[in-house]
Amino acid sequence: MNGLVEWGSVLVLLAVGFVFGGRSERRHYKSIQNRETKLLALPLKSETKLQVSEIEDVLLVTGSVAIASDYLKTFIANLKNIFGGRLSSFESLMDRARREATLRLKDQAAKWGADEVIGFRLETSTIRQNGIEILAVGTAVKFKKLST
Amino acid sequence: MKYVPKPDLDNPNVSKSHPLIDLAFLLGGVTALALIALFAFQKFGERLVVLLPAEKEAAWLKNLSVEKEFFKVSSHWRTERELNELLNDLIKKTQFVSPYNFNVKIVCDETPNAFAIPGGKIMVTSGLLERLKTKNGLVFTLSHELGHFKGRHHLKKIIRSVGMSFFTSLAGFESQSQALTLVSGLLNLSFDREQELAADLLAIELSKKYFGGLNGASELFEVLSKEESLSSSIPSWFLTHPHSEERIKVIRENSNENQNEIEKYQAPGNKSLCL
Repeated sequence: MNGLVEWGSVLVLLAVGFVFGGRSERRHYKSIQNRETKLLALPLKSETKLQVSEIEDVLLVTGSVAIASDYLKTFIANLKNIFGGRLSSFESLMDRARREATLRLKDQAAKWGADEVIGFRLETSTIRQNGIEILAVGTAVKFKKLST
Repeated sequence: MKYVPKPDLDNPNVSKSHPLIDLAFLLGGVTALALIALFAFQKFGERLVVLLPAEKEAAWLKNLSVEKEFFKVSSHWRTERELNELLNDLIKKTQFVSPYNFNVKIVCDETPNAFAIPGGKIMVTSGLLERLKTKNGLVFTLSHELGHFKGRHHLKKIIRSVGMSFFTSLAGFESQSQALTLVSGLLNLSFDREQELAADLLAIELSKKYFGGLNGASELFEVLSKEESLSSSIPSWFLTHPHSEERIKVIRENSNENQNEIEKYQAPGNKSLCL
């Protein structure tokens, strides 16, 4: 009996992971694509060198995000640990977290009125297992406007 | 360089595989691995366990009196002695060589049955003794159990159940779970039937040597087939034992021309065996 209950609850959790995890992922991707199109015009560079004479103002901008995995993704990943291979179930999580963090950074920079963001870097840390954390850091730059 | 904004085209960072297909492959792989491991354990264990000397087996089990802990044994010493004398006579006359020191005990149980217990103990139920009317049937029953000892079937069965319970506990099931007993039972059925047929063949051989022919040898199965009326409609691959009719047929196929005499033997009834 015990075994049936255990396997039953695993099945329920897998179904919950599939339905809710899948739905939140589809929604997130839709929102990411919309905002990426909106913020496309703001250049984002990893390069750090600029002519100081051109700069009017700078601001450190960050975007950070933590996304939880769902039961299905974690279950698949745990099984992959037996056989090896790519943790493909986590790839979409990584992708979403990276793009969301970048978008938050760009959003902050755009609101401040930046002309571009330089020195862009992505970092990751672990605050808990089965979740993904990404921190995006950059320097938002306003250029001197030509006086008319 | 002028910056021209352009949207992401194809995203190489995310695999296109569907999670449920991944899951199906992985679960299938894990299950297959576990089944292969179970199969290997059982095959290897069966090969290994027959190497255990019978003396060792008996010595290990000396302190575990299976018959006292699991069964109610009849204290009717006279019948027990008669059965043991018959068994010794059978072993002597047929020159059956075995490392075991055999011993017959009567179990108080209404259902007709007989079984082999590790260490060389043959258990016969009082219900079977009550129903058997001839020495031929009794000799066939005892030599069938000798057949189980010859093939070390009792040890192989232990290996089977150890492997199975390890496998089920790994899967998170309690070994007593009903659903699981059913599944593991089904997996072992053909194995059981093979063993029963092997034991039958030895019983046929010994009965032929003892009586000269197979007249009356099928009495055991005639008794059992009366109890079987319910199961006879079930296909044989659902049963631990082959149908009694099939087993009678095997006896008939193996019988020789020799018309041996059927010798009467009647043990005391169930009531006097088990007060």
